[in-house]
Order: sequence, then C-alpha cells, then structure tokens
Amino acid sequence: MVLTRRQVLSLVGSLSLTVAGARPTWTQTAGRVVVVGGGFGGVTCAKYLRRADATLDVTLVESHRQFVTCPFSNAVLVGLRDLASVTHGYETLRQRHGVRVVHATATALDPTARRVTLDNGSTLAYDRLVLAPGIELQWGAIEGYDAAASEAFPHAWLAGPQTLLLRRQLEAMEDGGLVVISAPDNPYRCPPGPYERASLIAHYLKTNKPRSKLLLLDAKDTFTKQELFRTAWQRLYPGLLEWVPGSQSGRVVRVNTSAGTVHTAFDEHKPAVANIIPPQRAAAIARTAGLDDGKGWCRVQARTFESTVHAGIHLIGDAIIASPMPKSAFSANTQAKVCAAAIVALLRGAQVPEPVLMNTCYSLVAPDYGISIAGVYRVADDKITAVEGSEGVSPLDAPDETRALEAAYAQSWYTNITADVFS
Amino acid sequence: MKAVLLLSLTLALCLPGTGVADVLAARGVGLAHACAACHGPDGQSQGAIPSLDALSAADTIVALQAFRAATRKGTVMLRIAKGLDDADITAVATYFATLRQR
Repeated sequence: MVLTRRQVLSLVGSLSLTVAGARPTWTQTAGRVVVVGGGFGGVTCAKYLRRADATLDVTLVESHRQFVTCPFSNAVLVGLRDLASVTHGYETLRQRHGVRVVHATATALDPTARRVTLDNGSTLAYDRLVLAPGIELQWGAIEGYDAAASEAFPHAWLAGPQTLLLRRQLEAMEDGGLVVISAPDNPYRCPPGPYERASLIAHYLKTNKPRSKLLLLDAKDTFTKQELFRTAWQRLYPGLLEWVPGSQSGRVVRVNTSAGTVHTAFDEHKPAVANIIPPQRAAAIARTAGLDDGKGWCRVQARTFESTVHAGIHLIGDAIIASPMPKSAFSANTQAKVCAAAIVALLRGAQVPEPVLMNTCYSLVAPDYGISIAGVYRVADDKITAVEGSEGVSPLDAPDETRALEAAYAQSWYTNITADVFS
Repeated sequence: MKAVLLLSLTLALCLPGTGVADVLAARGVGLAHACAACHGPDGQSQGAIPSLDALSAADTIVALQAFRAATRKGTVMLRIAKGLDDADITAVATYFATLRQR
C-alpha cells in the first residue's frame, strides 16, 4: 500500500494524539474549512471551495442574515438606488452550493487545536480557517467620535442603517446648508469611496439644493484617481464642492455632536450634515491570536493568503495589507478565489496553482460619468506586484461618451460581481 | 504571431492529459474566475459589459491582443490586457471556447 503525503501526516498526527491522550483519533474527512465573514471575500471563498471540491465540508460564519454591500451604497445615499438593490442573502450559498451557514459571531480562535469559538457557545473544528471579517471603525481615534456620536454624525462606512440615516439627513437638510465629509488617512476600506461619495452628494445638492455647499475635509494631501476627480469636480460642481487637504487644516481631530461642530487643528465647522469616515483596522477576530502583529492589519503569504503568524489560518479582503492591491470588493473576490484554489491544493498535498490576481474599481462622479482604476498582479518572491503597464486609471482627456460608458460598466459590474458571489 | 498562438492552442486542445494541457487548463480556469468579477459567472454578463461565453478562442485571442497593443478602442481592458502574457491569452481563450461548445 502506498500512502499519500497527506495520509502519512494524518497517520502521524493520529498516533501522536493517541499517545498524548489529548483527544480521540479523528476520523478522516475530505477537509473541514470554516470561513468567517459573509461579505465579498468570505462568500466567494466558500462558494469556490465547494465548486472546486464538492466533498469539502464548508461552514460560513456570519452574524447578519443579509449582506448590504458598500459598493453602490453611495448611490443609495443620494436616492439613485434603494437599499434592497444592494442587499443580498445567503440562501443560494446554502442551497445551491452546499455551504453550511451559521449566523453567529466568531469570538475566539485556537490556532493550535484548530478551533473557532462562536458567541452562541459552540465551537467549530477546522483543517483550514479563512478569515474575511472586513474592517472595524476605530472609535475614539477622532476625539468624541464613538458609536453614540455616529447616530448624530453618521459614518455610513458599513452599509445598512447608517446609509439610510445619512440619506435621511441629506433629504431633511434645507437648501443652503453645509455638508461636511471627513476622509481618513490610508489605509482604509475603498480608497476612492470618500471621493465618489462627495461627488454623488454634490450631484444631489446641485440637482435639489443648489445653494448648499460640500466641504470634503481630508487627512491626506493626495488620493486615488485625484486628477480625474478634481478635473470632473471643477467642471461639474464648481463652487459647490471644496476639497481641503490635510496640510491645509483638512484633518478632522475632534467632533462635538451636542454642539454640532467638527474640528480640525485650526478650524471649526458647524455643518447641517456631517459624515465622519473614521480611521479603521482589521475586524476584531482578525486581530486575535496576534494575527495582526499588533499593527491593526494582517500580513499573509502572497501565494496562499495564509497568515504569516499562524499556519492553517488564511486571511483575505479588507482586513489584510495586500498592497499594491487596494481594499476593494473586487480585490476580496479575486483573493478569495486564489485562496480557495490554494486550500484545495494544500488539503490534497498538491502544488498550489499560480495566483491570478486582478482589480477593477469604478467610481461614479455623476450618474452618467464613470471613472476606473484597474490592475493585474503577479506573485514573485512572496510579494504581490503589479504587471508593468496594467495598473492605471481612466485617461484624463477621455470624451463624455467614455465617461458614460464607464458609468454603464459600473452598473453592469455590480450586477455581475454580485451574481458571481451570491448566485 | 496569431498563427503561432492558434497552433499552440490547437496542440494544447489535441493533447488532453498531457502536462502542458493540464497547466494551460488550470491557468485558464484561474483567469476565467478573475474575469467573472466583471463579465459575470462563466462569462455571462448582464448589462453593458460584454459576455465572453459566446466567443470562439480565435475571437478572444484577437480581441485581447488588440487591447494589449492598444489598436482597439476600450476602457479597463486596455489596462487589464497588458497584464496578460501570450500563454494567459491562449489559456483563457481556450477556456471560454469550451463553454461555448457546451
């Protein structure tokens, strides 16, 4: 009888466990994978694991019953879409793809025993764990900005009730009011997101409340697609939208919701509507067991997305630093597919396939004005690098038809990626 | 160039089970999965983005080479195609052509 490497390892493991008497010999299965997080990364990974190997036992852990996407939540904010159109469920994942979906929160990990503890008191054993928990907001990083303050000054950076709260505030505001958006330092979820949001709110104001003003206060001096955004703003929203960089007192350091004020180092603003997008870090479960090295974001091996800290734990999506890939839904989706293929290979003791990593992010500057950034990435010496010439943004001098086409592509992209993930 | 690619594609298709064909097929699947994020599951797109599942291998090869050389009008594909080498283009074209035959 010839044993595969995996069988030998399993046999050795069983023997040592029997000798140690720690627990009974496990029964050999095709492989148990637990995926934590039901967003673009987690759902894609669970689905593609089962597509690649239907004998895998895959469990998805996600506290919410439905997922509201951040992509196109800026369109919801200004009434171009309703929330239902960016809300997706887990039924297809369960029924068509055979993934067990557990609605609970993962609270602790044991990387040695390979177990996840859930807040419902149960534990899940795994051979491979995938963490795709996304981000959490850093309450208190801006003085006075905590969960309670976000009920007055919404962040709307985790889509759902916060999106609708900010939408109601914009709708209730009188013509002539001041809207303030505060954008954080890098890194954070969706680098072009604050600028798309500013654009679409400016579009809403121009259309409905033209005497109003939008102040985009930024902790940074530069941002993604900057020339494209600023050129478009000058043309579409002159005098309405003003961007204040960090070096010109753009960084918000304090808010006072009872006084209704937003403070930078030198200025105080009293807006009618304040949208505070605070600094972020990897969600709590990704920072347990030292997975983030205490740095707030997690590092991974580029070919497998396996943690550099603990074996058997993979991390994908917004919780990791995968630069030059941005923290986007597309990045999470493509990382999830690479991670799934790597896990299937690792469980079989086979060679991990060459990763295919891509990204495309569309931003709407107006409903019929779209711009994009795209890139193709390769892995060499355990580093992700952009293939020369592939990474770049829409041309600055493109005609209106191109902007309209990219806006239409943005809509089509959303339909197609959510079909890829949720159908 | 096109003839060489088509020849290698034909050879790859004719030699199933060989190492080269397996590597090409695996690469094609990996690339097609990435394409799905914009072009939809199995290249079936809804809306303005073109579908890929009805294209012949030759059509896909010609289109990707033209995007890469910037001799064809486009938007993000002018950038994405620069990230693909000849083997990638053959692999992904072969994959989508098999969907068409289904």
